[in-house]
Amino acid sequence: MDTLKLLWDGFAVAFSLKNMLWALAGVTLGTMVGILPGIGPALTVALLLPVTFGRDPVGSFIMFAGIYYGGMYGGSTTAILLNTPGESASIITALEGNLMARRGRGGAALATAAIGSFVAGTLATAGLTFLAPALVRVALRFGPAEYFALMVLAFTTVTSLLGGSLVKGLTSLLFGMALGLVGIDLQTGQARYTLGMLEMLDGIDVVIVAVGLFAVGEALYAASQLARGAPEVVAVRGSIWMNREEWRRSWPAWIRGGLLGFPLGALPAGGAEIPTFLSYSLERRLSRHRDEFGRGAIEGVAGPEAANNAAAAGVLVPLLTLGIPTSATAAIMLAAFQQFGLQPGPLLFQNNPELVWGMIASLYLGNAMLLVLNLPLVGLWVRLLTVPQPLLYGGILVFATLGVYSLSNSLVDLMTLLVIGLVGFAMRRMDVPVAPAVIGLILGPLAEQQLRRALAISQGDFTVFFTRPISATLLALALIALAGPALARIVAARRRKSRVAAM
Amino acid sequence: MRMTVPGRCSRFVAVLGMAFLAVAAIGPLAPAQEATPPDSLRIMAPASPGGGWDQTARFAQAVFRETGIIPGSVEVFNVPGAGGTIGLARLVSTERGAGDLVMISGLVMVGAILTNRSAVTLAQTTPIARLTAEYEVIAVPADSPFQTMDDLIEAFKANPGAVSWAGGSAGGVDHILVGLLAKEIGVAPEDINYIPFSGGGEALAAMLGGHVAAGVTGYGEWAGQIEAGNLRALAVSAGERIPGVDIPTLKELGINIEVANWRGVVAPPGITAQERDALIAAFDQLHDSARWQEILAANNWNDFYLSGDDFADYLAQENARVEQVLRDIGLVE
Amino acid sequence: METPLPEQRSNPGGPSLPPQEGRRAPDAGRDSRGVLFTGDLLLALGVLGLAAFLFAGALNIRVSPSYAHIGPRFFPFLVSGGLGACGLALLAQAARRAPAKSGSLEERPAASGKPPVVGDAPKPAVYWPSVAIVAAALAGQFLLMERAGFVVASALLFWAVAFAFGSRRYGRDILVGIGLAFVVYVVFTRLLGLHLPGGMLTTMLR
Repeated sequence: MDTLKLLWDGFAVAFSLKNMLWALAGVTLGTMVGILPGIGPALTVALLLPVTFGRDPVGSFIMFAGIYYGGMYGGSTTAILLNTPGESASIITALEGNLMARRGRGGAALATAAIGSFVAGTLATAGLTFLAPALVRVALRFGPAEYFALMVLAFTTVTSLLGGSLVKGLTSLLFGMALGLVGIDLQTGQARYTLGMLEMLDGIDVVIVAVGLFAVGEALYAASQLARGAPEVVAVRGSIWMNREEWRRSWPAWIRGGLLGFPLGALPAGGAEIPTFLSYSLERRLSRHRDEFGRGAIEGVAGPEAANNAAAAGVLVPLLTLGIPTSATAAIMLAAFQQFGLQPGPLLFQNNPELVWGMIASLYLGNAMLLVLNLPLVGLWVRLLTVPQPLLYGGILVFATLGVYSLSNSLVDLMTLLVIGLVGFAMRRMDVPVAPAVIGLILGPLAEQQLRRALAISQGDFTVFFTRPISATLLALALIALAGPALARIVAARRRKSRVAAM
Repeated sequence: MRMTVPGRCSRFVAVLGMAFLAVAAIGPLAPAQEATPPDSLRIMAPASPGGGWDQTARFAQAVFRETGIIPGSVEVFNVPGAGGTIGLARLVSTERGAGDLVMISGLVMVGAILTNRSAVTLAQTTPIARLTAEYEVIAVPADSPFQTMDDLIEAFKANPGAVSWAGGSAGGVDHILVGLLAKEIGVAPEDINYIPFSGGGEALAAMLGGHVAAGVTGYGEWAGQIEAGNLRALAVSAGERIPGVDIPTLKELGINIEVANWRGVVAPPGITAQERDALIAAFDQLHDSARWQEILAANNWNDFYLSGDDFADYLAQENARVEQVLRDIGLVE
Repeated sequence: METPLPEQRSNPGGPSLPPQEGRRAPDAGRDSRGVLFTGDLLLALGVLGLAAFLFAGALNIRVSPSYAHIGPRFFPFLVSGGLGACGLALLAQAARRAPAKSGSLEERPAASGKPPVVGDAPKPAVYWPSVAIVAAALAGQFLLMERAGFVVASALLFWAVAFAFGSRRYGRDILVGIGLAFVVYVVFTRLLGLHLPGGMLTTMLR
C-alpha cells in the first residue's frame, strides 16, 4: 500500500540519530512543562519557535510534536498525585486518580495513565496515518448547529460528575458557567461582567479556575484540617504496579477512550477536554464497579487519560490535512509551518512528504519514548507523596502562582487565583463538588457561541438543530443519556415496589 | 446628540496628542537617520506568545541581536489581553518616559481601543515605525454559486441576511472590511450577517464545510486552501496586486477600499526627542537589514515600512477611519 | 472576580477565632448540625446573591440587533435563572435540615476532588489560623511579585505556607524556598525565554 511505503520512508527519517535526539528532547521537555500547571506545550512551542528559525524544519517539527505529546503525558502526573491538574484535559483524571493515590494506588493510577496514553496515542497515530482524509470529510460536516448539539451531549454527561447532591452539583456547574460569561461576548463585542477592568475583557482563563479550585482550594482545605494532625500518607499499598485485576479493568477503557478521543479531537472545534468528559461518563456507565466511582476507580483514570492523548493525535488531522488549528498548540504549530515557508493543507502531503511522514513516524517513536521515560519515573513520582506536607504544599503553591502569572504576566490573575481558591475552599467545606464548575466554564461559552452562530446563520430558525441529521442524532443521544438512567431507576423502583407488594 | 460626545472627546484627545508629538519632534531638527540606535531595548508584545504581534517582537529581537544594531540586551516580554489595550495602558502609565522600550501595535489595536472603550489611546504614545502589512482576502467555498465578486455583491445587496460572513472577532479587521464593503456598495452596515469565529481555524472549517456563504481573513491564513482549490478567492484588500498572487484587488473591481492589517511599533509618551530618534534609527536599520527582509519573505509579511512623523499621520487617519466603520456597524456608540 | 460568596468573606482575613492551644485537635464534636445548618444557609444565600448579581448585570449588557434573535443577554439570564432555582432549592434544604436530627446526614455526598470522609463522621472544625496564613501568603505573592521580584516573593510564599502547615524549621524552609525559586527562575527565563519579574536579581545576573 502507498501509505505504508510512505510511512516506511518516514520511519527512515525519524530513526536517524539526529531526529531521535530531537524527539527525545521534545518529549522530555514536554513531560516537564506538562507537569507544571499553567505552563503547557503551547507556550513552550511558542517560546522555542523563533529559536528554530532557519534550522532544520524536520528536526524542529519532530521536537514540537514530542513536546505536544509529552505535555499530554505530563499533565496527568500532578493531577493524580497532588490533585492539581497540569492541563485542563487532566481535570477528569484528577477525580478518580487522586482518590486512588490516597488509597495507596497512585503507582497504579500513574501506570494506567502512562500505558493508556501509549495505547491510545499509538492507536490514534495509526488513525492519523490511515484514516485522516476520510475523517476530515466527516469532521467538516460539523457546523455550528452540530457543535451545539455536541455541547448539549457533553453537558448531559456531567450528570455523572455531580456527586451526591444534585442541587449542589448543578450549583457548581452554573457557577462555572457564570465565570464563563465574564469578558467580551465574541458574537457582539460587548463586555459582560468585567467590573470595568480591562484585564477581565478576555475572560477568566480556565487554567486560573482549575488551579484555583483544585490546587489552591485543596491547599487551603488541607491547612484547615491541620489540627487533626497530618493525614497518614500511604505512598504505596500493595504492588507499585498495576495488579492483574487493574490490568483487566484498564485495557478496555484504554481502547474505548482512544476510540472516543481520536475522532472528537479531529473535529475542528472539538478540543481535548470534551472527550475526557464523555469517556468518564461512559466508563462509569459501563463499569461493573460503579460503586467504586467517587472512591478511586481505575477505569475513571484509564479512559479519560487515553481519550485526551488520542484527542491530541486527532488534533493533528485537521492541522496537517487542512491547516486548521483546533487547539492552542496546533495554532502555534501552524505558525511554525508558515515560518518554515510550508503551507499545511492538502498540498503539504504532496510537497513535503519527508517532513509530514517523518513527523508522523516520529509520533510512534515519541509515544514509545514517553512510555519508556515515564514508567520508571512512576516509582519516583509516587515518592512525591512522602515529601513532608509543609514543603509539598509550599512547592505546589509556588508552581501554581508561577503558572498563573506566566499566563499573561498579570497581577490581576494572581488576585483572581486567590479569590477562586477561597471559593474552592468554601465549596469543599460545604460539600459542593468543584469539577462541575470547571466543566461549566469550558462548555458554557462554547455552547453559547455555537448556539448563537447556528441561529445567526439560519436567521433565527430554531429547527436547524432537528433537521440536520448529525445534530438531530447527537441531541437524541443527549436525551437518552439524560432520560435513560432516570427511566431505568423508575423501572427498577416499580419492580421493587411490586416485589414488596407481592411479599 | 449625546451619542457623539465620546467620539468627539477622543478625537479631541487624538488631536491634542498629535499636537504634543509635533512639539516634541521639533526639538533638535536632526533627521532620524543620523541618530544612533539605543544601547539596549525592551520590546513589549501586547499579546500571548505565538501570535502575530509576539512573532514580530521576537523576530525583531533576533535581528537586533544577530546584526548588532543594538549592542546591549534586547528583551521581549508579553503583556497580553483585551486586544493589546492592557499592554497599551501599561505603556502609557507605568512605562511613561522609558526611552528603551517599544510596544508592537497594529490595526487590531486601533479597533480594540474603540470597542473596549479603552481610557488610553494610541494618540498618547510616541509613534516610531510601521513595519509590516497583511492583506485581507474575500473568499467563498469551492462549491459556492458565487463565481465572482459581482455575484457575491449582487446576492449581498438583494438579501443581506442570507449572506453569512465568516471572520474573526466582532470589530476586528475582518469585520471592518465587511463593514466598509457594505457601505461602499450601499448595504446598510447594520444589516450585515457577520458570524465571528475565534481564531482562523474555526472560520476556515466553517468555510470548507460550506456552513457560511462567504468569509474574510488575512490572505496568508487561507492561501494554501485557495491554491489547492478548496476555496475560491474573489478579491484581496491590497492597493495593488500582491506579488505572485493572481487575485484581483477590490480597487480593480471598482470598489474603492484598501485595508492593510499593519503592524508597527510605538514608544511610551514622555520620552525625549533624542530617545525617539534613536528608536527610529534602530528600526530604520532593522528594515534595511537583509535578515529582516528574509524574515518578511519567509512569513509572507508584506513590507510596509514608514517611520517617524509620517507614521504618526497615518495612525491618526487610520483611527478616524476605523472609528467611523465601527460606528456604522453599531459596535461603537 | 464578581461577588465573592458571602461565606468566603467570612473566612480568613481576620483570625478572629478563639485561640486554639498549639496544634492540638479542637474538640471534634463541635461541628454538629448547628454549624452544618449555618453553612448550608450561607451557601444558599451566596448562590441567590450571585444569581441576583448576574441578573442585574445582564440588564446592563448592550444589545444590538442580530439575525440570531438571541443576544448577549440570553445566556446570562439563563445562568442567573438556574442559579436562582438552585439557591431556592438549597434554601429549602437548609430549612428542612435545621430542625432535623443529626441523623439526617445520609445525604452527605462525596464532594469530588477529595475523598469521602471515612465513616461519614461530621467534619472537624476548621483550623482558621492556618487557612488565614496560606491565604495571606498568596496575597503576599500578589503584592510582592512585581515589587520584590519572583525569587523573593516565591521564597517567602514557600516559607509562609510551610509555616502554616506546621513546619518550624525556619532555616531549612527559607533555604529550600530560595533554592526552588531560584532554579525555577533561571530555567524559565534563561532556557525558555519567559519573562518573570527579576527584582534585584535582574541586575545581579546581568
